[in-house]
Amino acid sequence: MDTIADNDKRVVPTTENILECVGLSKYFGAKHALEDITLKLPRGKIIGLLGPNGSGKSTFIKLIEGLLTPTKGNLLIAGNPVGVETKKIVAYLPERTYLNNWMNVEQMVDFFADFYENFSKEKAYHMLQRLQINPSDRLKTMSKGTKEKVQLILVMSREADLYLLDEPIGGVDPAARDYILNTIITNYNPKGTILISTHLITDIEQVLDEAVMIQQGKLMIHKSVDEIRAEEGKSVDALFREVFRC
Amino acid sequence: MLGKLFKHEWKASIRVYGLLYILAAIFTVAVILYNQVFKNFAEGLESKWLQGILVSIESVLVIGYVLVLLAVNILTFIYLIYRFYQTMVCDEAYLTHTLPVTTGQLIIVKSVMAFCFQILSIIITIISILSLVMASGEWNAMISEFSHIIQGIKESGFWCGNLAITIILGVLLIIVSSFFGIFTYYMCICAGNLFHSHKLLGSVVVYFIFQFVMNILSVLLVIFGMWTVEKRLKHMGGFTENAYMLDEWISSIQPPEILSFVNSYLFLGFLIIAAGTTILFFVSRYLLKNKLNLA
Amino acid sequence: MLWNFKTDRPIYTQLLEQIQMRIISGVYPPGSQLLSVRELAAEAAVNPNTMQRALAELERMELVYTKRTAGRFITGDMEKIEECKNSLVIAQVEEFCERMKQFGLTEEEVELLLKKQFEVKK
Repeated sequence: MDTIADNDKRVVPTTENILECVGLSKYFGAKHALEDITLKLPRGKIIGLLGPNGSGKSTFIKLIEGLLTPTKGNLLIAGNPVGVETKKIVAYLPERTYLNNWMNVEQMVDFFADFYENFSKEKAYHMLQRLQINPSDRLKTMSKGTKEKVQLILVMSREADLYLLDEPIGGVDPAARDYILNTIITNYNPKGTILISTHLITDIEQVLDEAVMIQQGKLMIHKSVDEIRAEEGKSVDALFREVFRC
Repeated sequence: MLGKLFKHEWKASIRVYGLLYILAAIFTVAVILYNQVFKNFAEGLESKWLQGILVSIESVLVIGYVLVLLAVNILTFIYLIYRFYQTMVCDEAYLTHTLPVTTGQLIIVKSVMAFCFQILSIIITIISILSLVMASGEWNAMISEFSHIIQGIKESGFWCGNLAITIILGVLLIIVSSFFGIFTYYMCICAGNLFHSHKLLGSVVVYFIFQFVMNILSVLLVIFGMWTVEKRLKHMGGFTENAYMLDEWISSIQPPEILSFVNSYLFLGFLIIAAGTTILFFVSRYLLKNKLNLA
Repeated sequence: MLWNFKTDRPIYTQLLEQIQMRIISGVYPPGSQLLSVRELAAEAAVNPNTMQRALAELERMELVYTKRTAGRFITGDMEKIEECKNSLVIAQVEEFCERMKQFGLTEEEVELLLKKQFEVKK
């Protein structure tokens, strides 16, 4: 079977699925943010985590990253429970700006390189240069949009097994959106799975391999995008509107 | 990984603490310089009015100097709490908690660095004061005063091996109390994070409740301590209700015995506070690991 | 030539068609080298896996071949390209006739329409 070999010579990973969860649930008191999610995510795919606001997408991502602990069920990343080992291979891009204010870009790059073995400084500087972001710029002085791009670059410069992008294109102008999608495509590697959580489906559909739809914490659909288009004869966005009709 | 956390914590903190220390240095130098200038200048002045002004300026400088030293130490303390709050439960927490390190490691590194900076602030304060002493030519007087004190201790019979133990226990007690204080604030911040809104307010409320409980516990401990003192003294003395013999016996006790008696309580205090610190650490870690509730 | 995808059909099939059109129309000249999968995917703003599958299929159809370390190239075999063009053309014609049938037109009516269309062009 063909792989996207090109110049990549990667060691075959040991587990077939990057993420496996069974009966995963998260309750906040009476609120059931996630209910009984059973899911397997394969390696090397770009997967969309789709659902309306408040459907549990961010909760799911935070569980994977270890920012929340499950109420029920279990969750394995590359065969390991969530912990220090999984954080080494999972790269997380939160919805908000989370970088500290006093550093400049260069210091931030060094910070990431220091803590993450699989971080590539060359890649980061290459992407920064393309955007004409000066390494000595202080994060404090940047506009929100530029800060978000820096955050994306830092995350994509890591050679992780799983990328978690929480609403990367929400509230972003069309040009920036194109840049983000382009970055995702060009940084794709066959060992790494990219999980993109969003409610803006039209913009992202073409880039997705698979779609996972969540509503009110429950898993509704998990199919490949081409399958959906072929079987339903409509776009994923159209299917979404049908499934989640108010 | 611990080393990297320490390095980064240092880099981030020294930006603020360094400013404080520079401020202290400036004021120290200012007071010293002004003193030299004043001495050489004001003495030969005819005008009482001008002399008066110069004295006033010196008073203001000295007051400013004292305030700065106080501020350095207080701000050190406030900033270490703020830094924990900022990096562990605010937006920057998204960065902190995704690093490939355990929650325990994060808490330990921050508390150790907080402690180090508190010590550093105290050292800087002492250096500053000693500089003033040196500059004003009182150094030798101070040294001889110290020798007198030590001489006095030796003569009273307290200069013995047990005194060394007392001093060591005292230092340990100070260190562990410092950590207890740091972890108290850490725990309050972690607890405040449990609330869905007004997290800071929650932390303050938890703090007051905690202090209230601690006060009650302290009183109970002191009462218990005094009870044991009485019991032990009577046991050591070997008799019960005879007040006259008790008094005579007490005045015949040697300093080393007194010190060892005191040391036992210092050690007990150390154990209790160390246990409390450990409990606070585990509570904080549990709250951050299992109940993290980032906005 | 811009990439243009409809939302109700699989990207994979649309990719196949559009790459074939580029080969037939000479946008990708015979014997020329293709960009890498990732670059093509980025240009088309599609998933690299899907682009890979499409290219793999084109290789199977012998319109494209891989030179081990150098990359992917368009075939120099003009017959193959001609074949491809023909099958695409026929598919279009069949689709056209089917559509016209749906409008309820007879074959003669369709022929007349085509004649008129070509006259107007002149």
